[in-house]
Amino acid sequence: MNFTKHLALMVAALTLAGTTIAHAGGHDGNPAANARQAHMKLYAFNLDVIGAMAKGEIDYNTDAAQLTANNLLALAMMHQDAYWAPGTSRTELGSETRALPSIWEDGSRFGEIGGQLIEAASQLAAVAGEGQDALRDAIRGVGGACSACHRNYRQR
Amino acid sequence: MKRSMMWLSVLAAFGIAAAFWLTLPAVVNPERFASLQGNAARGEVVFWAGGCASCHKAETSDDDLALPGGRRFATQFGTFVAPNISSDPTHGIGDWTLVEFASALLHGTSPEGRHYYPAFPYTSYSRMSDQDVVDLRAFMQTLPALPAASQPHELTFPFNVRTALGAWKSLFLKPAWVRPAETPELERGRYLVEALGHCAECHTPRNFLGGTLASAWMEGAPHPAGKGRIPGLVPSALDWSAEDIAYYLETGFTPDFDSAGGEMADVVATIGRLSAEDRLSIANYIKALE
Repeated sequence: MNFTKHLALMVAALTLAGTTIAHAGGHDGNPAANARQAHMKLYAFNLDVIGAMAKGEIDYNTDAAQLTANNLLALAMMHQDAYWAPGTSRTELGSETRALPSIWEDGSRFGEIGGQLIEAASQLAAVAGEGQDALRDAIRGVGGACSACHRNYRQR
Repeated sequence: MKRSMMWLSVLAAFGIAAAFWLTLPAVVNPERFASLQGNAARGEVVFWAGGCASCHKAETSDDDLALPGGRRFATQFGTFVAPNISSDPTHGIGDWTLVEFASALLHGTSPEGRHYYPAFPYTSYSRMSDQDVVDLRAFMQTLPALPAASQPHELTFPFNVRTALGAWKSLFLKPAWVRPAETPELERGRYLVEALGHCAECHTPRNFLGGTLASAWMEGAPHPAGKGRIPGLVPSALDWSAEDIAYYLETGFTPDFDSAGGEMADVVATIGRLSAEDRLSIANYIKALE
């Protein structure tokens, strides 16, 4: 994949995210679930750029890697309590969300795993400018945090 | 008349005894392993490829080296509970001999001489090399001893009759390779997939007795817990490139940068620790499926 294609993807994804947010402001669907899904799309979009570099599908570029890693860290650190509001699980909203009610139950490790993501994203941002290999290693930590949460708290 | 009835009864009794004897739990020949030396460093690779932790770590744990068991697996046959396989001599496998360890992996036979249920994927592990068995044991002996007592499975009749598993094994325990492998790389991939990684245990559908269907190899299957479907890995079900598959196994990220969830998250946590070459070998095996 070349950079132009990724740029086109970026524009497409931003449009998509914009649409989702517009929906959140309207009356279509649950705003909290919409906001969460938009947030996930922004993770995926930024990971796509950085992952393509790690895989060698596009040339590694120090600035682009650093800026994209910064985005991921910023996303991970956003205060999200309002759109992870209780009462917005799959039990209440049905197929609109895959968020399991166990997120909000006693003993939930949801917050702890969120902390792991911040830690992994910090590590990624710290080394993203050091080259393709360092980038590739650090993405694995981010993937681990994503999967740890999806394993326990997302409907299969 | 009377005499022929008597002969029939004798014959029937003999037949039942023979069937029982033929399906007794098998053990390995100790001489086969006598000269092999275990190497813990190589055993660690076997451990990650074998995915032991995916089932034997505690339910909500991220620690893939702590194997107290206790995880529950709901199936149509009842609920299986993973046992403690830590190095604890009482509750785990710390006091197992090499022959007992090898018999468990290669024949599905416990140290007490009973059949294991194939929820423990010895149907795949039976394809392991003897050296890998010995190396794996050397590595697992270095893992922490945890005192949690193993819990019994919760199965309904007739699935709670362990002796019947002898007949099951004679039908479905087939250590032969399923797919051809023309190059050394494909051979390595096949070994990682069909033996250690035991991918087919979930990705291949089973018949009503729980035997995997070689005719539908890796075509995907209903989830044993009832909800959802385990995706197929054959070309008609999965169009990712080999690099995409290898990257998914490394990071959990799909080509669209969604991330692995469910049981596959646990698989990535262990397989992801293999070398890049090994992950690519797995991917190339998958790409060569039909």
